[in-house]
Amino acid sequence: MAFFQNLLGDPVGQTAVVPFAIGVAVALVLALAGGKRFAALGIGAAFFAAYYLIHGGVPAFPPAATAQKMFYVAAAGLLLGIALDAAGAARGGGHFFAFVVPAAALAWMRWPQIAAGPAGALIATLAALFFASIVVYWRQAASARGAETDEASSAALFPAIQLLVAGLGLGGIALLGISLSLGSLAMALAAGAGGYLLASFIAHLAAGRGFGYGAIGAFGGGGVWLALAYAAVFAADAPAKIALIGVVALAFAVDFVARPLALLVAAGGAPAAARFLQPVAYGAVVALPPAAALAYAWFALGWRMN
Amino acid sequence: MKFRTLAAAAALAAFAAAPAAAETFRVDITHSSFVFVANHIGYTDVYGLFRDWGGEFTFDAKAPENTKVRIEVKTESIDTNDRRLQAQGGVRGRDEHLRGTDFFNVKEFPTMVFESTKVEKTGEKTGKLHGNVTLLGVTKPVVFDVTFHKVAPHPVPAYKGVLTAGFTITGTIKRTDWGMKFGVPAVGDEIKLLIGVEAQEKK
Repeated sequence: MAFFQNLLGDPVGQTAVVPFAIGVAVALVLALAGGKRFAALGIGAAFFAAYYLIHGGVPAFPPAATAQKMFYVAAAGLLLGIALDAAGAARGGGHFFAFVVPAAALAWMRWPQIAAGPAGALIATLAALFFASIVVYWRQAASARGAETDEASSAALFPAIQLLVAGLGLGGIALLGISLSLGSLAMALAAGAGGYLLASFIAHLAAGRGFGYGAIGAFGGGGVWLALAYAAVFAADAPAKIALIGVVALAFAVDFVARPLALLVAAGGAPAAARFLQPVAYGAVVALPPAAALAYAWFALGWRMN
Repeated sequence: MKFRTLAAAAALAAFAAAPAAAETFRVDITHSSFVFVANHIGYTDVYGLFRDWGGEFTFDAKAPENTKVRIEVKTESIDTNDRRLQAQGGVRGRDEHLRGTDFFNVKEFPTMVFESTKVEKTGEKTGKLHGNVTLLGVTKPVVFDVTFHKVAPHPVPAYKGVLTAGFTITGTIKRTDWGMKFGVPAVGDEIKLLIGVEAQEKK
């Protein structure tokens, strides 16, 4: 009992061990219960568990601060994803909400500034974040296409790989230069994605089919990442910090290149080799932007945790 | 002047009826301090202060319980004597962390405000100062202890005998009540406040 109490109170437990375990456990339980397409629910669950542990509760509603609004934007994304997948409307509804959700979230999070008379810099920031959000949702949904076929079955893992590396990148930048809280939460999101990914990867290796990602993954995982990124951008006190968050976000955009490249790896060889190597190759490519951002922050800018 | 001084002294010292109009005082920041104390991982108490703050208080001699106090703190001015990393560019020190979203979130909420609602006498020179603290967009009621020291014309010639009052406010708040939850319990939830006020009559 004391072990678990210590784990729940320890920063590493809160940001890594507990969310990772939740990501694995929820995915496995849902898969065993016949709900493979809802398996990505564990990613969002891991994030909210970590939020509760790190902050000792949930923020008051209505929230006063942008970082508190982030929690409710993330929660709305997860609920939307569940509703879309439950209704079987992920495809059509997803396209619609990929535009509506970021617009509504950004307007709500920055409403005091917008109401005060939006300046050019604010408009540019909001426009950039909106555009980036479309790209994130688009690639979260599109990278898994074709996963029901043998040739592209590895693609089922790609959205979670994007989320894993982007979460680690955002977490690192935030921990080093913006906010320990936001950084810890981004790390927890990455851990949840990692847990889901491990379970899905094992299923993929064993049976050639990973778990579903769907709207729950896109809005309850990718959407949570976006909410964290919005909060980090709004909290950043230097253009370099915002720019590095933008570089991390390229982890989603480079899917354009990483997806076809990864599916070529061992494509003509043994299926088992392809199943193992393709996700690894994909991860190596999409991890490049976050790795570059972190390396620049650490070595060139000399950022360190306080 | 003498009558007014005595009246203000009576109001301050006894929180009782006194035959004078309300006196308004402005905090002399040079001789006042806003100190806070937070426990660090159970090891020790870390002391910090706000360098930029100010306020006014008005004594209504006929109804001292309606004495009004308003203190406004620029949270950006927080200082916990953290000099270790200031010389290194791109590196956050503790004070910068405290200014960020994990704690005071100074970009969104640049001020912390205390406004009194009533004063309650508890002793010859002591009382309870009831009021509201607004921090991080949240307003919560608080009760502080206040100890009156003295009110008298300032003896330093440069002050030209201006009526000057001095008192100390102490109390403890729980920062999580205002939604400042990060780091609890490693960085203590209970924050002790020690506010030493010297103030001159506002002309």
